[in-house]
Amino acid sequence: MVSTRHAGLRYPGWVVFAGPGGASPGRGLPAVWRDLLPDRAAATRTPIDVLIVEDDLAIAEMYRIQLEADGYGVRVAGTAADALTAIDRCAPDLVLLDVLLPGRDGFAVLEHMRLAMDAAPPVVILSNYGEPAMVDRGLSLGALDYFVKSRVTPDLVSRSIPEWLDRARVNDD
Amino acid sequence: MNAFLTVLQYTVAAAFLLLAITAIVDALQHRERARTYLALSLLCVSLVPAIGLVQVALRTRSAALTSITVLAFLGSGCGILLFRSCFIPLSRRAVALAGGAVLVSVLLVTVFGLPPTSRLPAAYQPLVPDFLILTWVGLVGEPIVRFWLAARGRPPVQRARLRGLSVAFAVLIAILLVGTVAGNRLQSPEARLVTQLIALAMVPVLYGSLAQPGLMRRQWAMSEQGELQQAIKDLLVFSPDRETAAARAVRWASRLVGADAAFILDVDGRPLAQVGMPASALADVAAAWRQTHDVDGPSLRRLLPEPAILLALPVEDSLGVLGALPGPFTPVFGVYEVGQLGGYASAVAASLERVRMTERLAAMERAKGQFLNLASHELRGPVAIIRGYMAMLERGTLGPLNEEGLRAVRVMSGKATEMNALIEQMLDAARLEEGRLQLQLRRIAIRTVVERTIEMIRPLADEAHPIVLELRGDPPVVSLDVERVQTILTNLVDNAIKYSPAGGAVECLVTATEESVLIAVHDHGVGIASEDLPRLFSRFGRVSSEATRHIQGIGLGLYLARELARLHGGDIHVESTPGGGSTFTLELPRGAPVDDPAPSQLATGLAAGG
Repeated sequence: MVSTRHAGLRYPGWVVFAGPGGASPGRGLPAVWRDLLPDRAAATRTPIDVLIVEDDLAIAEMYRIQLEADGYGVRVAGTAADALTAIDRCAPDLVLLDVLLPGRDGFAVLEHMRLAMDAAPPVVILSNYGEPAMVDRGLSLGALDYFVKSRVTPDLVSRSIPEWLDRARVNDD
Repeated sequence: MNAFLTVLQYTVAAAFLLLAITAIVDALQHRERARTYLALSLLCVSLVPAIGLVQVALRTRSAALTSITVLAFLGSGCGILLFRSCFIPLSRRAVALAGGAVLVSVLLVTVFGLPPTSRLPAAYQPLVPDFLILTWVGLVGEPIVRFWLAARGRPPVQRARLRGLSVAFAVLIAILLVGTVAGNRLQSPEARLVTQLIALAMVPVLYGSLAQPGLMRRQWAMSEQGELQQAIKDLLVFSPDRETAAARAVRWASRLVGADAAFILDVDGRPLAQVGMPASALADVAAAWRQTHDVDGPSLRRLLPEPAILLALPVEDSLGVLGALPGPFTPVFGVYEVGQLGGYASAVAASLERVRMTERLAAMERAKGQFLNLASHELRGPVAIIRGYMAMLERGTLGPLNEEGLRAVRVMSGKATEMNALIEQMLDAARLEEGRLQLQLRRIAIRTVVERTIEMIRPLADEAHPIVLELRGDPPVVSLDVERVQTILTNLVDNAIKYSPAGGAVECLVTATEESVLIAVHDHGVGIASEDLPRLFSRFGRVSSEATRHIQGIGLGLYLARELARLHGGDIHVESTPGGGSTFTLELPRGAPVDDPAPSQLATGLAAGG
């Protein structure tokens, strides 16, 4: 199924919103808010990079705002091909992956990562579809977790990132 | 003994005469060639014993009477052959051969005479009667075999009649052969008695095969009745699509009347099913029907052999056609069955109509399921964004809000959560219909589930609807899908609040029996009239009354709740007094199958949080 919902709103390519090390946590927020950000994010010199693979501009933008506010470095890729390029070149620490993408889907990205990449970053799937078959497929292809977008909020996802990274580390060991 | 034999001989002669008269009456009534030949044949057969008796009574052996006997004898053979030729036309050569044999027989008898007055030397005397009998056996024997073979694959009534005719004539041949060949040895009174008795016994067989005694027809048809009724039932109830229904219908239509071919044209004139018809002929018939739409129209009739049976099928406010084309035996042997076809046609029409409705309903169901599925997935995207930004606004990620703004965001956030719940319900309903809904069972204390659910709902209830939770005894650990049971309980409590517009406590009581856990949700609301109870759990089956019309809802909640409960092996029961409140009780079995996929704590936490 090819979605035409957001025709014209798609990213033409992968877009770097904040490069590695270039992100200043809480940028653009009043000082009082910046102080309220998590200590870890504010103190970290080299922020954790998250790649958002999402063709819906509004969703990507929302997650970018939340994650940057929490001190993460964020990149966005709108297609599977851009996602693979970004993973290859910039080695993000975590990938938030949508399933339904124009062209090849998120599962194809997972498959390629598993087959062709030596040190692939952990992947958490964020999809509009929650069918057990799709969840099973995502997890069996090596995704760390699978969530339905409408059931989670960006702050919940953002707050879960440390736990995912911990789990990924444990898995690697 | 002799006296008895004489009486028997007279009886046989009388019986055959009566039979002949019956056949003549039948032929006069129907004025058909086939019936006339049959009547002629039987008349001739009946003349043979009658003339024999006359000769005995007069104690003479007049040459004239003997000649009449011979002619009658040959006449009966010719009659039966012509009768057979009406159904399966004889070839020219066969006709010539039969005619030649008859002519030679007549010549031989005329020239040489029959024993004992034969003009031939004694050694050659038997040749003439032998030739005569051989000719007759040929004339009658061929149709006997033909009829017997043709009876195969006919409807039972036709089959019985064809075989009856076949058997009766075969026995007559046998009697004649035995009588002549065995010659003097059969002149003993006992042998003649047996021969006469057998001849007498053949009378009802012949009668049954040419006349139509209702009793016998019913008897024969009985074997078919059960099958026919089953076939009509299959047609009416079980045909999966129009093509199958029509194919079954034509098979039975042709079987009913013993037609050689049958077809059904749809309302648009398209051939729906056929049996025994060349495609080109059917196409011509279909084209003629499309032009006239008249079953009696000459342009249509011209294309079909007479007497074709064409019946209009009233389908979809229009007409289709059920046609049965006669084979050689149809007119004489299936008149009664043709009448049955009329009644059958209405069953066929009803069946086609039903299948059409079923197909349409199934298509609508499919479309609805697809729509539910697609719509809910498409709705998830926007809802994810609304809920996400609401949460971010509420937490101040997007900057500080003033008190009013924050309050507005909380209201919107609550509504977005409601909207999300509705979408999830629609999705679950779609999954249920397609049989795709799978439970994620795990063992958990029922207390935990209920308490957690109530805590989730409590903030959504206002002061007028306090939620009271009571756990009696020690509620057990059961195997269930936490998320689905939360959906069920949320729906029940939500309904309890919605349908108590005047306020009042919502009481949740958890009890356990030997087999099951019961979670009763009781309200003091408007209640449900008993006549509305059956509709309560149907999909989109909202019960609307004066008191509840203003209450919002799409009528999926209770349907989904009960289906989910049933998936768990449980159910939902309801008791209600109009104006006095309702009690919905969720019953879950204690010993449900354990299938623990051990979902991550995070997933459970997020699901509960979202």
